[in-house]
This record gives sequence, C-alpha cells and structure tokens, in this order.
Amino acid sequence: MVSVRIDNVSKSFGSVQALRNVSLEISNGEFFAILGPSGCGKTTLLRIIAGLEKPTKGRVLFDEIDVTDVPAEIRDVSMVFQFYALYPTTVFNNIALPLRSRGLSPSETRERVVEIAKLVGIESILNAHVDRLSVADKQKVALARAIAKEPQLYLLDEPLTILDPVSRVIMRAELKRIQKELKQTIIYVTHDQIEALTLADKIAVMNFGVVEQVGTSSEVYDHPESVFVGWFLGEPGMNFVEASVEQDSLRIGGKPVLSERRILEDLKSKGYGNVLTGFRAEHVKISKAPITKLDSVAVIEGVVRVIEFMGTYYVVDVESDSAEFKVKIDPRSFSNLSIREGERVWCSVPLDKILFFDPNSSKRIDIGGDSG
Amino acid sequence: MEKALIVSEIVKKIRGKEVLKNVSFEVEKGQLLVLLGPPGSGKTTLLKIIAGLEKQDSGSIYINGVRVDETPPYERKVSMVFETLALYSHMTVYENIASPMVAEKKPKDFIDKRVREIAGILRIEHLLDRRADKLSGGERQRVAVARALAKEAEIYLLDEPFSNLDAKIRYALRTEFKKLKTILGKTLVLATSDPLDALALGDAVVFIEKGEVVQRSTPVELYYKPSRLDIARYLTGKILNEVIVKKKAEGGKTVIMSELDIAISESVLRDLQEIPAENIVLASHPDTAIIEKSVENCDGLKLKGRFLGYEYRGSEFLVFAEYKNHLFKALKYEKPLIDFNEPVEVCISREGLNFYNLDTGALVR
Repeated sequence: MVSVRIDNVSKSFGSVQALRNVSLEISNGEFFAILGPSGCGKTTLLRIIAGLEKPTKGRVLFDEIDVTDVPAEIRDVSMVFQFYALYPTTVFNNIALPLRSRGLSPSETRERVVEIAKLVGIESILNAHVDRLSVADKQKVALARAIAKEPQLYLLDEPLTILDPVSRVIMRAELKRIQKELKQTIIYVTHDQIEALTLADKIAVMNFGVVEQVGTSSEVYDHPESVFVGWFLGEPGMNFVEASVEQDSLRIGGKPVLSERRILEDLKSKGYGNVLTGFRAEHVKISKAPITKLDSVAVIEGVVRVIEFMGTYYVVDVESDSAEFKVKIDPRSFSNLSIREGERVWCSVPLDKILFFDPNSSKRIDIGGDSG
Repeated sequence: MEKALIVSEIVKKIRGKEVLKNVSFEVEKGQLLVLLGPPGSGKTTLLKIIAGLEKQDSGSIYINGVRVDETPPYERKVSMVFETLALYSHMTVYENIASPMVAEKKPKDFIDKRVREIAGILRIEHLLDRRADKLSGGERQRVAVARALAKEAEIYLLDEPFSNLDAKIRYALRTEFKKLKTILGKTLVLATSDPLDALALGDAVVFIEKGEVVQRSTPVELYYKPSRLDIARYLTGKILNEVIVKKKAEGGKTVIMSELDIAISESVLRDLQEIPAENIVLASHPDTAIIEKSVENCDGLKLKGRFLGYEYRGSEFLVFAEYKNHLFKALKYEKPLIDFNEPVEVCISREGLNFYNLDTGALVR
C-alpha cells in the first residue's frame, strides 16, 4: 500500500503538450479514477506513474519518496490493460509465474495461486488453457496475475471496456470487493463516467492535459467546478444558459428568471454583468401553465423543440429566445404531462440546484450559502 | 396519409445467400423511419436498393406512388449518406455542402441561403471556410449529414450517420438531427444498429434481423412490447430482467414451476394460466423492478437474492442483485444503502412484464 503524489507534472511529445502542470494526491488504499475523453492525457499520466514514460517536468512521489527517475521494473506496480496479455498456458501457470519469479517454493506457489484464484473467482478454471476462456475470465486471470505480483500499487487502464454489459457489472462488483479486501491503492483510468462514478472513492476529471477537478462522485456530478466537468458528466450533460445580471433579476433573453436578492447581490459584488447558469436536466420541472412567481425557483419560459424517448426516460429540448436546454422526465410524468413539440412551457429549477459559471474562464462562481 | 416510400416484397440474394427476405414497409410523407437491426442484418443493402445503387432480385420500390424499379439512381430524387464519409477533402465545408446543389445548377443565392440555414441548425457555421481534411470525426459527420440534406430530394437515406462518434457528440448530434428533421419536414429513412437512435429519433421503427422485418411499430411500442425476446434483449443492452417458468398439468390443475425459488402474485398466476405456452419467459425493464432489503406488497414476481452493487449514473442508480447465477436489475433514484453481499428482496412488478414463449421467442402477452 502506498500513497502517490503527482507534483506539477508536464509532458510533451514534440510540439504536442499531453499534460500541463498536473498535480494530484492519492491516499493510501484509495480507489482513485482518472476520467476524461480520449486524448485528454489520462493514459500518459498513468504511464508516467508506472515509470513507462518520463515527465518533461515535475515529479512523481510514492510515500513522499521521489521515484521520478526510478525505472519501471523496480517501482513495484502492477498494470492491467484494456486488452489482457496472457501467457499461452494454463490459468494456474499464468498466476504462478510472478510467484515463482519471486522465489516461492512449489507448495507455497500452489497455496497462493489457489488463494488468489478464490479471491478473483476463478478457482474452478485453474487447469484450463487461457485460449479456451471467455473474455471476462481472461480479464480475471490478468487481474489475478497482477495480484500475484503483490505490488504496492495497482494501475488499471480501462480493464472492463471489452466486457459485455453483464460481465462488466459483475467484474465491477468483484473489483470493488477485491480492493476492499486487499486494502490496496488503485489508480483506474477510464473514459466511461459510469465506471468512474460507480467505483472510485475519488475522481480526477481531465481535459486537454489539464486536471479540471478532483472530488468524490457526488462532488464532481453535483458541484462541477468548470463548464467542462458539468457537460462531460451526466446523460445529458449539464445545461448552461447565458443570463444577464440586472438590478432586480437575473434575465435570460431579457426575461426575468430569478429574483433571489442574495444571489443577485453576490454576483454583482463580484462584478458579474453576465453569467452562465448551470443546471441538470433532471432538476427541471415542466409546466404547461404559466409560473409567474419566482419563489425559491428560477423559471424559464420556452417552446418545446424536440422530444426524445430514451427508454427509461424522455429528454425534452426547450428553446427560449437565445437559450436552449434539456429536461429529463421519467415516462410516467411524461405521459401525465402530454406535451408536444411546438408547445409553450414553463420550466422551473429549484435555486439550490442552480450553479453559476464565469462566462470567460468557464469556472464555477462561489455563491455564499447553498448555491455553490 | 400519403406514402412517400413503399418497399414491397423485396428479395435480394448475394452470392447465393438471401440477404433480404421479402421485406415490405411503407413510409409516410414527412416521417422519419428508423431501420434498426444488428450489424449485417441487411440494412445497408436495403438502403442501396431504395437509392437504386443495387438491384433487387424481386419486389418493387415506389417513390411518391411511382414505381422506380427501372429508374436510374440520379432520377430517383433520393439523397444518401453512407457510413463511410466521402467528403471532398480539398474543398471547404461550404463547398462540400453546396456541391450537390451546384451540380443541380441551382441559383447562387438559393445555394447560399440553404447552406447557411442547414449549417446553422447543425452548428457548423464556424466551419464553413475550413477545408474538409482539417475536420475532426464529429465535424465530418455533421458536414456529411448537412450535404445530404442540402440536396433537393424526396427521400433522404442515412446509413449509420452517428457511428464512430463518442457518446457525448452522438447525443448532441442526435438532438440537432431531430430538430433539423422537424424544421425541414423531410421524409427520412435512417439505418442504425443503436437502439437509442431508433427510440429517440423514429416516428416509426422497423426492426430487421437476418434480412427479415420482425417488427414495425412506434418507438414506445417497440420498447415496451418487443415482439420477440431477442429484440427485447437487444433494445436494453441485455439489462432485461428475465425469469423462466414452466407450466405443468397435475391432477386437472396447472402447476407453475420455476428453477428459482420465486413468489408469484395471484394476478401474474392468472396471466400465466391464460397463456397458450408451456415454457414461458417473463421479462421486464429495470425501471419496473425494485431491489430493497425488504419489499412488501409485491404485485408481480418476488425473490430473494444478494446485493451485488450499483451503477451510479449521476441522476439515477442501476442496482444489481444476484440469485442462483441470475442477475436482476432495478432502477432507483436514491443511493441504495445496502452492503455488498447483503440479502435483498427483488420485486419485478406485473405492470412492466412481458410474456414470451421460451421455445419460439415470440411475445405471447
């Protein structure tokens, strides 16, 4: 078990800057996810932690010891990749190999292989040749082999991507359980937000080589620190609508949508004439009757442009002058509402579900009290 | 309503293999019909036959009531976008979108107005001066869709227009596409293997499998009442809840048996009695199931299992329970406060249950 500190790491490949001043702290025994779209630099960062790449600038520390110049083979880390690389032999031999190379006797090796196989749930297939295994079982063998190395740190690069949805669920549960039992530090790289939100104690959201936010699942989902994080997380991503800060109200396309004095004064005192209001599609309530009172809610009047049925929910696209946003509704409420494309609607969002962002920097504005 | 397209009893063999088996459906004017099916089900071949790029062995195509079997592609008034995006790489985005209209010798100001209108809706105005070879994957896709829609045609055919895009861009492009369709009021046929494209976009959906039309319905009907078990599985990405029961006659009574230790409510028992099948699969979506430490008043199927965890999807949680190697799923809006491996009860509500004949896979109720 080890803590990891990434200290101001940058990495360039020729003229391309893959990482820019990345700093992260990963605690002992933490399940830490690095999440971002393809090309955001997450795999490069993982390779730097493993020692497979050298940073152009900055340091990597394990338990506060600088390992930046320590070669990969003596960093004591185990990596599991998206595509397993197994030796063409039995499951037993695959797990036994790292144990034998550590000098364990045959009986110790056998004992330990069985122990690990039980932990990962592959004790019944120890004698099978890996070529005969399902994709899910092969990935379990790769994981078992990583555990056999008894490393101080596990680095996982999208290990569940190739699994079918059901195996993925089971493997995810197993992975979480194994991590709890082993009490090991895991750094897990993924582009899949569900994977990160579900598994990780903490998530670093990356974009274009920069860490946009580090936090727990609910912190990054409910309180994104930047427009990118809000947009990237969630299906659909967070809505962002431009609004002007006026004397008596916050206005979208000239129409007042919010009149809470505390918020208006805070925004004005920080010098904002315009802001981006951010809110999640599932926090919007649609009404076919006008809502005129702006009491602890923001109300946006608009026209339904597009309705999309997504199976377990509907997404309604509402247009209001210059703004456009999405509303997520469960099928039952949708059928009660019976709205159609082209219809005029009033959308309300509770004030505590609204965040404000700087239109220039795209960063979240801290509002005193509960709206930030 | 007026039919823009009639596909009638189309049969097509490729190298002796029947890839389209008597395919028939109709598309009304202004409608968006989605051809949904797994890869290799014959969708692209069918689109090519409609466009006149391939010839059927038998059957007919009618466009606006006129039989076009002998009409060459360029006279069919059909515009098609392929999955492989062939843009003119040396031309700008503007020139690419304008190219079909230039070929049709449309007036310059007409072309300009149309290019800008479509580019506006697809949010590519800022790219109009950029060369096509300088675009990202998502941008290329938008330009290809824009170019196909800019062309004056009676019917627009799109083959997997959102494939190879990451989920976020796909989501955004889908909405823009639907908006565009509403504004332009065109007749469209879109082929896709992604169920969400079909549910979100289609006015009607034709499910095609191994060259055969298996179901034609609205997206909502398709989702809630798939005509076959394999369609139901396909639509939900295998997160369907499934329970197999067998009916057996014993001493003049019908006994319902299951390999799972399961409590079946009176109402579902009555449903089962009425069904003319012996081996039945009861299937439902996770949004009509409950997984809790204990569930009281379950009108449906109830069983015990162990908690396997959940998927946190931001606005909801997909909860999993396991029982005798069967995985059960429920959708929940609050975080489940249950520990891994803890015993739980699963209730699959009658409301969302569909009954399938296990032997034929057909929907029986």
